[in-house]
Amino acid sequence: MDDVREATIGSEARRPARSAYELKPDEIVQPVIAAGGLRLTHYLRPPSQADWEAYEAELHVSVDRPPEGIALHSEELAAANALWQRIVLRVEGYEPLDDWRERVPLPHRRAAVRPLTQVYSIEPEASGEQAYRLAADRIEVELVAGPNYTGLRHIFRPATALEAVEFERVRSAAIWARESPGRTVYPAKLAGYVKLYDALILKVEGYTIAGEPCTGREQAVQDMDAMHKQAAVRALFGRDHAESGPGN
Amino acid sequence: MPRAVLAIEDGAALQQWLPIFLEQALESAPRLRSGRDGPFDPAQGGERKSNREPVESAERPRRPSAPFGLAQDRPLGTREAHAQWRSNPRQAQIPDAIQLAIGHLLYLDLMTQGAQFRAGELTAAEALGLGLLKLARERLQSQYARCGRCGGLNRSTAGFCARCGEKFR
Repeated sequence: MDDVREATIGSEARRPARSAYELKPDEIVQPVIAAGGLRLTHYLRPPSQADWEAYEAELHVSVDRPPEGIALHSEELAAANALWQRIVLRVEGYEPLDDWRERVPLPHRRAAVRPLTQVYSIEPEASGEQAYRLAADRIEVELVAGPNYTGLRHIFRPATALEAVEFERVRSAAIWARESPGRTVYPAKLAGYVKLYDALILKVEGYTIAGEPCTGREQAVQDMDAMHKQAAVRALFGRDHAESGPGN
Repeated sequence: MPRAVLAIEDGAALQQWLPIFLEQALESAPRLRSGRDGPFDPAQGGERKSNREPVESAERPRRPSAPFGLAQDRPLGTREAHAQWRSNPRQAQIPDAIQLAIGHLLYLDLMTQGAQFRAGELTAAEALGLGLLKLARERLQSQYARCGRCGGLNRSTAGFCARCGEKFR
């Protein structure tokens, strides 16, 4: 199997020399470093929600509880391949062949799209919140994306009871079969989270569209990357979870 | 080919597992559990120290250490697990998917304490699940009674309080 790692920092980052996350670049430039240090480049288009849904459909996340423990399964390679097939525009650094799409090794494809999948929220403490706001009329969530982007802020209005129930409905969805009770399959949830995001978002910070700051609600609904929407909504509702600290 | 369904929509499975979940939760709650619960003693590593000799009920097996049946030392998804469940439901490992569905029902149950939902705002499966939860809870409550002396919770068939020793008629 080819040994591949991703280029992570420096001037060759996939959206070069920008402090904000561009939502509609002409193309995403993603360096991939193959075994032996050979530098390759994949050019991708920004993934749409349909692309992410195809990715999620191939991911097949499940948990098995065999007698000896617990095992998490996901078809990450297959999912990355499905996404790559949909969004790759061209590649550089490979032998020029007409059927390059079929010949690019799977690990290269995975390395090319992996930074797009790496979207995470930052804990409120880490983002500098000093006190938990009990009567906030807007709630802020901060994301980091890939290796290069921090300070991606999503500002939401508070959720209604029905929206909270809807989040819980999506979050708790799990599939099982009576014949194999130790196996839990997690169905696609992206569309459910995106729907909630679109209902709750007020504005975003840290993003641009064609170089201009993206701040308006309508822009966020229309152009925000679905993976970012999912991460932001999960963080929004996850902020109310709590555990007992040390003490009495 | 196994028939895979959303756990929340499997009413028969919820009906099967809800009583077990509630009973395991009840017996995992230190303040309600009778017998081995005494004053909280940090010197004992957080374990509750009984002021009486432990009373082991013949009808109540020792509970696993992890709450809500999440202990990893019990098999699941095997013939052995099924046989175990058949022989002693209270020791059974509840499938993850069913635990998630029950967790969702408990969340809905909590939400309905503070807000009223119209029929169309819950799915049919959720409404059925809430009904099953209510039934299972009522059935469980009917199986336990509080001691008039110390408030400890005992099986309604018990002859004496497992916490304070009070005899029941």
